[in-house]
Amino acid sequence: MAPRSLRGRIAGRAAVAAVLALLFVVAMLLVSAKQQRQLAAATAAALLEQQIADDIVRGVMRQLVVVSVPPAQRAPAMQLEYESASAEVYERLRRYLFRELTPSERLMIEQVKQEHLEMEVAAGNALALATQDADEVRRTTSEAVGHAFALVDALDDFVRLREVELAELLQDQSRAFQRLALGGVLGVLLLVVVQILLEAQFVKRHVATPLGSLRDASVRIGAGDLSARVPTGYDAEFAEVAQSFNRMSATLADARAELVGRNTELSDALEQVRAAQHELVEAETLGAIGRMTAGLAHELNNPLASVLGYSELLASRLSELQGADGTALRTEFVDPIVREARRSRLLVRSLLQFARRAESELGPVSLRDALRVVLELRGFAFEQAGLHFTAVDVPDVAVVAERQHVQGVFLNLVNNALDALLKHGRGALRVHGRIDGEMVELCFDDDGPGLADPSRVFEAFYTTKGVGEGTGLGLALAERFMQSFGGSISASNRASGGARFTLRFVRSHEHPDAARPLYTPEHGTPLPLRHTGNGSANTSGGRDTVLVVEDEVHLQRLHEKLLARLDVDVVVCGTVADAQRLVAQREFSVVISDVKMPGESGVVFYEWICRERPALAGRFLFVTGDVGAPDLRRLVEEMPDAFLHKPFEGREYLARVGSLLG
Amino acid sequence: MTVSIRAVLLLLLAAFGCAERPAPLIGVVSAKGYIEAGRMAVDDAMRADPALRVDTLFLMHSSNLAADAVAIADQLLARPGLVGVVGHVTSGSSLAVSQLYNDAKVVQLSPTATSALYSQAGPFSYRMVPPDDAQGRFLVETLAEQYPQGARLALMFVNDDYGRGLRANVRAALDSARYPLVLDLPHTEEGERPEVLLAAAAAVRTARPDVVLFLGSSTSLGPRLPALRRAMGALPILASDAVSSWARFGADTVPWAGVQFVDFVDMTSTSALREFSARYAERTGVPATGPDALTYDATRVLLEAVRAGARNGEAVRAYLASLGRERPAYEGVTGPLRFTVDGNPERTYVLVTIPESATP
Repeated sequence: MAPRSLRGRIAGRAAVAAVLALLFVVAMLLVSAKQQRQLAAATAAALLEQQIADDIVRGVMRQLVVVSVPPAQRAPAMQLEYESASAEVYERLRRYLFRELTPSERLMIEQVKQEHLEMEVAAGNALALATQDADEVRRTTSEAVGHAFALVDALDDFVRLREVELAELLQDQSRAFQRLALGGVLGVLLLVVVQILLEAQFVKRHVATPLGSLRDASVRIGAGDLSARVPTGYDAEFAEVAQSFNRMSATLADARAELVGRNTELSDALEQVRAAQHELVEAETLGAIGRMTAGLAHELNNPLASVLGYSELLASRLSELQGADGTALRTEFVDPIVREARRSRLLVRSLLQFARRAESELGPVSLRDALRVVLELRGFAFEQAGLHFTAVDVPDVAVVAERQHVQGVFLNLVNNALDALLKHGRGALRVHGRIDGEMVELCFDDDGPGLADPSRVFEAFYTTKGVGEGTGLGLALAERFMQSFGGSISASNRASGGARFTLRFVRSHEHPDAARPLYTPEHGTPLPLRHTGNGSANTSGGRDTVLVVEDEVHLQRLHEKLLARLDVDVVVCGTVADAQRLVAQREFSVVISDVKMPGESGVVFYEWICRERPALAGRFLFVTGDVGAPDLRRLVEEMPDAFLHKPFEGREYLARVGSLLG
Repeated sequence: MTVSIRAVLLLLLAAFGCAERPAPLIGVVSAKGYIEAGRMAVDDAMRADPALRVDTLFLMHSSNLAADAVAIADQLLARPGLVGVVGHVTSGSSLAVSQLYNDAKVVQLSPTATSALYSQAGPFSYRMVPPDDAQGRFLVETLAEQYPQGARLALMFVNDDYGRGLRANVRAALDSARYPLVLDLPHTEEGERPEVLLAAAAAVRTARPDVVLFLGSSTSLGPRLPALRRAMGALPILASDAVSSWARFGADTVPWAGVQFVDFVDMTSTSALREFSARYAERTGVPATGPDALTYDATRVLLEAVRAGARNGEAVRAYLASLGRERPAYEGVTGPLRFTVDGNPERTYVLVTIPESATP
């Protein structure tokens, strides 16, 4: 049901008040009219009774007049006059007695009647005895007159009584009018007071309460509570206002929700900006150097591959000389070259592996493998400084992490420890760990001076190093990485001196991807030499021909030297275009191709082979210094045996090519 | 409404509901002789219906003074449950209180009031006898039967409501009967001085009437009768109904013999009246008169109204008005009883002559 309008209510109440006032006025008028009617009736009754009394007295006088006339002078008409007067008096008395009288009034009239009857008896006797005894006539006449006087006195008493009653009635009427006036005033006052109370109640209920609700809701909304709503069960006007208010507050709530959403988005965006900033800082501090290092390492790969390859060839040749001089020469001059070249290769590969920005993807990471990479990177630095870097009791388990970030965290901690230990000029960094349920704990303890304020070391830009020595972001990034793994990092000073960083990882029960070994065992034996007599024969019975696509001349020669040990024909070209042309002209048993070359890359060449010579695709070997390059990742995952990492071991090279040759 | 208010209202309702309503009350106001007929009626009614629940109050009143009648009426009206009154005896006293009873809506059933004015008293005013206008005609018709035209008539009347009304009706009837009125002498009901009585007798003698028409009661005729007899010998006297109680006033001193008077019932005319007379005489030791029988029937008919269920004056009035109409006429010892709209019975008159044995 639609709510009633306040205007309608007010109009209705005004109408009711007007009707009540009208009824009150009508009631007062009716009461007043009744009083006036009573007064008029009493006055009329008094006048009528006065008239009756006058008639009675007049009749009695007429009778007395007849009685007083001497018999001789009394005409017959007088007797009729007497009878007429008698009947008139009697009739008037009966009119009195049939009126509404009090018992005392009735008795007074009865007394009047009795006096009249006795007056008539005396008069009758006087009339009847008039001719017999004058004295008796005089006596009865006097008796009649006496009764007449008594009658008049009784009648006068009655009239006076009625006058007194009339006066009392007038007084009563006056008092009644006064009461009526007073009652009217009091009634009006009462009506006004009642009306005021009712109107106050009405205003409270229909105006103040809705306004109060509106005010409360406004205050709540002003205080931020946008869920505040105003009840709508009021009169139409307030219901409309309440509905508008509720719509407004709902709109405000929606707007605020949207604002909060936007704010969240902004916060996220800000967080992303901060993360990007951190990334940038990281890129500035690690990435840029890493990329530069990676680029440098990549450029080093080719000469290093030449050095390693030729030194291995030289070592093999010396070993093949079958003499003490050859062995001595090899041991004294070539093996150190091979060893240092291999160490350099290991260093370059570690730099490449660390600098490579892999996609941030959580997965099982071998703690030992990650720690080994850092150990290989920084172990020499510790040795050079006369310091010790040991990893003992590190559980051989996988943890939930991102491998590159884990290595970054480890490297950061190791570098910090190295810096701290360098100030002392002695001491060691010991890494040890333990399994704690589903968590794996790893501690990095050093013998340095300890932390100035362990509670602040993870704050961004907090550093105790000198200007240019640290950005203050390393440990902050380390904390962020650990949190992203679902783990944690904490710092403290050991009781025996030095700092301790404790890393807690979530243990993973999956097997981590096998980390490619960063080095190959050193055999110390000459490279294998294949002697087929007629050379390496292919399935068709001809000599095997190996196509080498390499832009570096020294590496072309190295490929030729190494492949010579497999007794195969070698065709070398420097570009993919040349290689495609050669493949189109003749048959090859194996294709060995660099990846980065002037013009088309080795990958394009491989794809061309897959289309044009699909049979040759299975005997294709990439030789590249960066198997972690993004454009190679898919191919490396699909066919890992098709890649050989530069600088490569001569022995491995020959084994891989040999296997392709079958 | 709170529980306490409800409880109070229930208690009040229970109190009013359980309060015993008073039994209907019937008052009998009459002279000493007549009132015994009323007692006899109550006894007979109770004997006929022992379950009849009614109260009765008997008040002696024979005065014609209005003050006495009003006092008695006030006394009766002060009693709760008053539904009817048998009384009063005379027209004057009946008229004096008729307005009081009408105002209180109490039925007044007068056994012997004959004033024509009583018919105008009100709807609660009933009587057991016809009004004076009929009696006036009956008296003049009786004169016409017994006396030739031209006979001289002396009229003596009591100057009260009864006498004045009856006198007016007689004179109206006399206008066509051509009887010369040689004396028209009023008197009062109360005792008068002897010289007045003698003077009245002398006035009658001076007028030399052939017959005296006396319109008054036995209490006023009784004192005048010896002087009249001495002055006029066996002058015929024809009296109105109020003389019917002559036996109760100076029966052993007043020469009542030969006086004729109008009565409403002939106590020897029916077996019911004779039986009533016998029972009444046995109960009181005096012979029953017409007013006794009328008082008896008046009391019985009011008791019958209560027995029929009337519990207030209005119901009693309705019962009386229904007699001979919605219900059969009441069969009293004085005959069937029904009323006109003016409260008058439909009755006739009888002429009674006081026997010679009444002379002391």
